[in-house]
Amino acid sequence: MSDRAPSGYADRPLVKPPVWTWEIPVYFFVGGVAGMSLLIAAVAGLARMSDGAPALDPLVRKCVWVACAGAVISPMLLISDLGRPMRFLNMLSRFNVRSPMSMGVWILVGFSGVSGLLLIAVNGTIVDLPVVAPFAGALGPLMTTLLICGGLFGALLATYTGVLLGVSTIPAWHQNRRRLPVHFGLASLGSAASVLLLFGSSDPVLVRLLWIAIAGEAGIALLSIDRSAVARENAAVPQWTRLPPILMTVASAVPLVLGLPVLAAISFPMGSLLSRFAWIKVGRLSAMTSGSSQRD
Amino acid sequence: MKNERGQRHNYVERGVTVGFLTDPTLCIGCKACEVACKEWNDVPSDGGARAAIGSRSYDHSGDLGASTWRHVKFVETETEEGLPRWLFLSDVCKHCERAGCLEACPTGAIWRTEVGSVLVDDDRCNGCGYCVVSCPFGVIDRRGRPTAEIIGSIAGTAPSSGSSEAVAGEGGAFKCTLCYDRQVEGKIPACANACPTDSIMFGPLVDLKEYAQVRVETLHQRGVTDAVLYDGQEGNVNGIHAMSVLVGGSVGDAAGDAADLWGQPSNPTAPYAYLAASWSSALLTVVLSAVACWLAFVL
Repeated sequence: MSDRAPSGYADRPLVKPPVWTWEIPVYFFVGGVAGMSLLIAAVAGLARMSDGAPALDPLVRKCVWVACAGAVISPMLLISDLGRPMRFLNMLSRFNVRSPMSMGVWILVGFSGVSGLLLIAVNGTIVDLPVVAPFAGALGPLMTTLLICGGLFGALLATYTGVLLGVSTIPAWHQNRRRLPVHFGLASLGSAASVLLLFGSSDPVLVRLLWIAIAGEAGIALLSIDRSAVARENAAVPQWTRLPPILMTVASAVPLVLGLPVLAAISFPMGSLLSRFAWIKVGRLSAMTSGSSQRD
Repeated sequence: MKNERGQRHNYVERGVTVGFLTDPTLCIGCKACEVACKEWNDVPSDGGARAAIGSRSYDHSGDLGASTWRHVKFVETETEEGLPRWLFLSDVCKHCERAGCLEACPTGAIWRTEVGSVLVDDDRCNGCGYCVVSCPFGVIDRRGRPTAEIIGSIAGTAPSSGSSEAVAGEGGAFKCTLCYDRQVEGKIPACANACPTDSIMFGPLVDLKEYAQVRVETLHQRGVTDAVLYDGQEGNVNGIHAMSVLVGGSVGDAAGDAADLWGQPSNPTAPYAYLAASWSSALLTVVLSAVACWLAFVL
């Protein structure tokens, strides 16, 4: 064997870096908040049933509003990142189970549809319509079905983005293919609880959910950005990529203990948003330093 | 075996799987393939965005990309006697038997022809960019507008006056088509047609594989003992339709060292290898999040 260090061809990267711009990490965050909001709505509705129909208390309404806002903003971000935005609808001409990008678009479509229907339902206006009155008995089961579908689509929307990155040739991403969906899901859950807290919901359940997210993030915090793998080859990984785990754990837990949930509700989503940017940044650096010396 | 210039073939009608075999021991680094490819396919300038391998290299195109579908690599190494050895190899899309880009495409724009090549349908591609991070060979890319920043970063290159003008096909993903349009007409690809030394061989894949074995053995007999065949059988792409003979690696090494030297993955892994693990992790997270929410509400 020769002693020549394998460094690839002229230090050119082996794989291409992602072409995605700021819209994608922002979409990961917005879609995650909206998605997990609908999961919270589903569980809230189903956990507090009354007379065989899901409870539509203020928390559920707020959750559905957040979900709908996300369902409006998310496609705008996705479309704006496309190289040819006018052709977004081409995405809907295929159902490709082998492509997380395709699956993600269908999840988003399902999510938007269900959250739209839920928005109509929770505002109670259709119940008062004369045409609907004879079917009033079916509204309870219908709501239950909508909430279950919404929760499922929502949780998938918050986690598939991790799959989107994990299933790629980018070393820093596919090396974390198992961790990314968990991290994105937990960060979204905590962010959704935070956003609902900031929108004035004082439901103690939200603080409990935030604690769950913090605990989960703490569990994977030190691993959440595998800087070591990238840093070994690239010293250019910026320091700010260290921030998200701190914001989502210590900086959120301390205010909660001190009885300042609003501070925690600002810190956690900031960490969550920053983390998506960090993963894209690390992915780009990882691609730029990918050489054939890296066999994994 | 040599390229049958001027003669018509009917591989498309017969559905014969075709491919390339590129041989660096015949390549003279003339870049006729690069020029022929650009000319025939009307590929626009990338504004020099991928240039500047180094001022001492003859490699001016740097890398395969959205607007560089053939790329001649220039490698300087040493013989065992310590003499300089200057090698060239024309690189191209591998047209994988199981292609990462094709499986990643959400619009169905990327498809496989009856001759086994992988094509991007430019009328369908919406530029989502997922194929870019799904190619284990780093070939396919989205065509952007060369920005002044990129152009300015290349030493000694004045910003091109057309940098802010729209580029043909902007925003879409592009790569080698194996000159499908020429094959429909019974012609061989432009690069193979232009290659003056038959370093780029085009033909039915079965014939090329057979010829490649003979060629590597011949090279070994003639003293080029480090010649190996790079055919993508390692990894998970199930073989490639643009094979090459590689030289310059360690003698007796199975393509690994030579692949490193030429900037090719020794173990090309298309991302579908990661689907099961990542999706099961996502589904587990969905279930756990629901359970966590439930607990938060009922406790």
